[in-house]
Amino acid sequence: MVGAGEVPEGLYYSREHEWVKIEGKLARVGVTDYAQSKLGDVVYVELPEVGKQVKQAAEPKGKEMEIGAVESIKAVSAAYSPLSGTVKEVNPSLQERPELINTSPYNEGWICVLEPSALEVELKQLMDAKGYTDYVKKLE
Amino acid sequence: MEWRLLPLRIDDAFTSMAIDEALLKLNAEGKSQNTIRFWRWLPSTVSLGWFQSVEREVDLGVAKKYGVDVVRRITGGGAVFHDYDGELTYSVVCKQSDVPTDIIESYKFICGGLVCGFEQLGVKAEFKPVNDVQVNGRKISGSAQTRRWGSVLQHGTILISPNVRQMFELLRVSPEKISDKFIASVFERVTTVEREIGRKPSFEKVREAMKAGVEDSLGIKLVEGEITDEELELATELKSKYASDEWLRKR
Repeated sequence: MVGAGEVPEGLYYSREHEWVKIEGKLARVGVTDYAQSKLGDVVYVELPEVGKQVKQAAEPKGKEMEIGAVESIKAVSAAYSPLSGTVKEVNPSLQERPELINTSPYNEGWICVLEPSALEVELKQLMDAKGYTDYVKKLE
Repeated sequence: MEWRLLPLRIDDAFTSMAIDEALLKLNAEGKSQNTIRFWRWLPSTVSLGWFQSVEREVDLGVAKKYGVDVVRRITGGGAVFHDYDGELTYSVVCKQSDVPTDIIESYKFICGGLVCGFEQLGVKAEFKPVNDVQVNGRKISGSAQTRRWGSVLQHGTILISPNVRQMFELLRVSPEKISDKFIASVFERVTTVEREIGRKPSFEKVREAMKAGVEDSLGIKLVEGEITDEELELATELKSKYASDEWLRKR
């Protein structure tokens, strides 16, 4: 795979390769096309618990920043939250069809919906589509 | 760069899994340095990948009959039979930033040390993506990885002289398949150090070879060190999780 894959406009992106879609007061979260291509075929997704308080990913990483984990044929990798807040909803389809992360990372493969606790401040830490594309280019 | 090398340990599966997780957690928190260790499973054990179903993968009746433990790992991958007499196992724990970001590249990086170690033993092996080390197309080592909290745990097998027949009795392979012909076909796909060099080296000798291989290939210095009290305490805490029925039957 070359470059960042699909990077839709209008979403926000984290350095940990998560995307955020603002939906009113809530934020829908998933992993990027680039991330899914790097993970390879996803075989299991552990979802976060509804009600879990999470923190925006930063260094050093901690458990309180995790919104579950994704197992691909290669490894079990943590998914890190792009925002702080409370998990309001998780994607039940991923239990039966974890491959949605690969086939539809920005739509059917979403991971959870958060109620952000510091949206305005934290959005500034995230990238727009162009910023993320450049970020991935530097990684390649 | 210096990494710590722990002494060869022999533990039950639950202790070993707990030590690996403790090293990972404390490494992520900056309290444990990058570490590599070699160890053995006593009693012999079937380990399951993080998401696998125990009923589907293991014949618990046969496991009980042979006194073999069954444990779920926190790493991905498939079910593996670990023979006390035939396998040396390794674990690597390090910061994610100390290995390539790409998962396959990171396997290649760490397995490169094993390849070099096998060479020291007179076995010409090569890395085979995703996560195997092979000799002429036959697997001699398999690895699994997890990335949590900003650190990486990779552990895997080094096959010295495992009991292949027992392996297939334990893992759910249908009985009619466990014929001499089936075992023969397995020997086409799997190999061991003993088979490649015609004798069984001691575990200590394999460890020494792997130590030298890792130092050469990864360009690091391994310094012999002990496990810390903090690591052991956390491992003791985590052990009950791995030994619990709830964890085993998670899926």
